Amino acid sequence: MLIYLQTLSSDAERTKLEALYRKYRLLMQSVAMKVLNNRQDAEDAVHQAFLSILKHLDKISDIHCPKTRAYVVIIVERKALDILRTKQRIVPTEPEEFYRDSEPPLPGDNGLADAMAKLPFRYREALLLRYAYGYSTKELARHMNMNQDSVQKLIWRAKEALRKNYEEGGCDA
Amino acid sequence: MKLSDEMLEKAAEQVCTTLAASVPDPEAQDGTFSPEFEAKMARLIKKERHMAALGKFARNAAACLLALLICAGTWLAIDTETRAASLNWLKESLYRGGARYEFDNEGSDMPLAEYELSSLPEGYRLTISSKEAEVHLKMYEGDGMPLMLKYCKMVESQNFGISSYVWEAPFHSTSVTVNGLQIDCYVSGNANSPNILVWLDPSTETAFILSGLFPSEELLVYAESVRPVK
Repeated sequence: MLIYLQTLSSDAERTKLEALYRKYRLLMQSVAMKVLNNRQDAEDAVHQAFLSILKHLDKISDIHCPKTRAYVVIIVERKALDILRTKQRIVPTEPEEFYRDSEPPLPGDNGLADAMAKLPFRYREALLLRYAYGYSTKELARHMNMNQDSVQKLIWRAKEALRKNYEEGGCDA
Repeated sequence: MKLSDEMLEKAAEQVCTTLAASVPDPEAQDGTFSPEFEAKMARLIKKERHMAALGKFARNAAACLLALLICAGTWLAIDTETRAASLNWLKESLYRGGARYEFDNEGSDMPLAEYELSSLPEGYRLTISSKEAEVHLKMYEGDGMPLMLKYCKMVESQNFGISSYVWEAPFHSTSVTVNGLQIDCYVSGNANSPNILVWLDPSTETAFILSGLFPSEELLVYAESVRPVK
């Protein structure tokens, strides 16, 4: 956190940072608790999430809009799952495989948005960050602790899964 | 069927809107954070406000720095060794009796090797080898206090440093150069607290901490013995 606080360059961004922290910290804690069920771990996840968010403050235009609320939820879920992964080394499955509470309700368009909402967490996360928040491959790689080649493959697989969901849903382009 | 970027952007926006509506109102949340967390965040925000006061000066200095960077850029372009070193340029700051190391390095795809101490105090052996939050830990135990080696990749996102809690008395720091690498020695003023060495190897993008209840000269010998596991 300190590192990124020190890199902020304008008064506006500092205001945005503090406002984000005040507004969303309890929601973020609640989301992290759902994944981790441990208060201290949840606090760590919130802290890690803020480190990540502070690197991408430019992607937040209005701290009060729904898009920002969804953004902080997506980021803190990822950080909580990362902590879960390090704590559950004995479990030979990916945390995303047994953490299913994160599936959002369907937008109800019977189309591409519903198909995207039904994707597994990892695929959905990558597509949302890429197409709703404009994350580059490099930014996604840093966020997901992957190299850029792996992120490109992940995006490709996510699009394939999305296409399959979409077509199985009886929709044509 | 081809999914265009425009279609994907529209769908992603819809999913985000639905996701936001599905979570509780952030203003209506109950909950508390631990005093430690609150204190940490408060310190950071306070520190940031302090930094803001320096911001104006920094912006003026930036103009001068730009001119310097243009000159340095020419140098870096022709000197590969210097370029490699500068990419891993680090900032160190002392805070509250501890030391924090920050890395201006996004990290290459170079994998982090596994390291070990090839020279140990008599009777010492490896008892713990673990990895937590991308920091590797090797603990060697014998008759005395454990000897602990920590290492991690020098990447921007890595939290790396030593905290004041390990010392119960003032410490002093010095730097020595061994095999071309600068080693920072944090020497405790308390005979019951460990001495700590910190060094960075830009060629492997690895940062190391070695601590133990040994004289710093002896610790330096063990530090020199750190080798990749074959």
